[in-house]
Amino acid sequence: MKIANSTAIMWSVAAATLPALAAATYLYGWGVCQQLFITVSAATLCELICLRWQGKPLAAAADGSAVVAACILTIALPPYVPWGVAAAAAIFAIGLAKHCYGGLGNNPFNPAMAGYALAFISFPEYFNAWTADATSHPTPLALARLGDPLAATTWLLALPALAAAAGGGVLLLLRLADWRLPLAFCLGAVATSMALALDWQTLIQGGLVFAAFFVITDPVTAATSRGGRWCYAALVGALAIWLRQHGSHSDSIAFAILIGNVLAPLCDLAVKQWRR
Amino acid sequence: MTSAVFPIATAAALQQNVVTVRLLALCPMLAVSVSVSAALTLGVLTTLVMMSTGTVVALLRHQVPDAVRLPVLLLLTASAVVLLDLAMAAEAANMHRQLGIFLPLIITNCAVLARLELFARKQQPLAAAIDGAASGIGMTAVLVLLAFLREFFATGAVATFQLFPASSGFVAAGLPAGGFILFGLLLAVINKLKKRTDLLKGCV
Repeated sequence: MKIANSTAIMWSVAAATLPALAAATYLYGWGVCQQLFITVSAATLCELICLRWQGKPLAAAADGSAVVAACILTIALPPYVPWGVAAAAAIFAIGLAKHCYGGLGNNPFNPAMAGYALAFISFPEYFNAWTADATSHPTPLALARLGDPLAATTWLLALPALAAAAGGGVLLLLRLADWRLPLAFCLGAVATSMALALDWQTLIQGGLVFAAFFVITDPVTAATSRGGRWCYAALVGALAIWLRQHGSHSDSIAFAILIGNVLAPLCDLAVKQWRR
Repeated sequence: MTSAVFPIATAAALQQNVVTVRLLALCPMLAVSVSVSAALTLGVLTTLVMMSTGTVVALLRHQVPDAVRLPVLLLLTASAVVLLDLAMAAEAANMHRQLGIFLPLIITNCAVLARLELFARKQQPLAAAIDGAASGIGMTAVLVLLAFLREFFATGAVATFQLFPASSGFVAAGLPAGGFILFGLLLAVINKLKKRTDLLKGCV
């Protein structure tokens, strides 16, 4: 089966995030669904307003790209941030990161990651503790960073990663995402964590697996040539792990991806020059 | 002469606004626009520099050979800025410290040099003074507006009123990136208004 037009692709990607969303709901409760509702409504509303302002047909809002960004954002954000923070992230993602750059297909930065970065920088207090069942505890990743051996002992911690991989695997099978990107991303991440001698279990925590399938594979912001894609994804994977360890935040995939987005055209160019 | 005052002033403050139309003086603008008081002070100081230097440059316009005009313009600007710098250090030490390097840097402010080079060098002293004052006021208005927006988003404060607690403010609005983004949005709104309204036709 070959899905060709961008609307069908976008809606398939949105559908493929469902297992990951379900896993997050199972782990963190209904807050995830509330948050999904907030981000999807804010993103869609913002999309409609931006289209109206630019005099573009409003039907373009049905292409699903805003919904995909909202789904990715929902999974990236901690489940119980105040609704205003989630809405601000969604509005920034669609209004500034996407429409200010010319809309679908022209954005240099992944909209969801730009929205996440804005919320992360502006409201750091909500990002330090993920809440499950109203009890607050540091993220497994934060514990691992502190060297807590109890981190990552239960299979539950692997659940989000498995769910993301299930949805992402379908995308790869349907050829909606280029398999080179997740593979190179994982290779880059694994190599860097071996080089830094990190616990391998941290690889499946945080948003790493989800990012490997849903964020890095965004065709708009990734490199375009095959060689460039290997280089781009491996670079982002390596950066994600390196920033985790040496950056100032416990999970810095969004920043790794934004840096990678800037470097994507350079990756294409570098590979081309090197081949010559 | 008096009949030309109004056109010169509106042209300098609105149609040829150094910040929103010429896009000059962006560096000091983004740097000091984190607080309204700093923005207002720097704006007023820049206005004083533009007005006084403009007058002197216009007075000396027949004496200064074209070949050396740029060093002369810069030296005159520098003299005015040094005077203000010393006066600020003596009279308003706290604000002087808060503005830091951006006070002496008025010397290199492109907006100042642009108005001297493009206008004051070729005009009567009175016209040059009006142009300097109006350009400075136009710049100060934008600077204070941006500072107001940034301060509001970052801390929730409008003057002394706290509209929402400072802890839930947009930290990003206070960062340089937030300054750039808000300035871009401000320009977008101004351009949109320019298209929409006849009132602002040819202005801002």
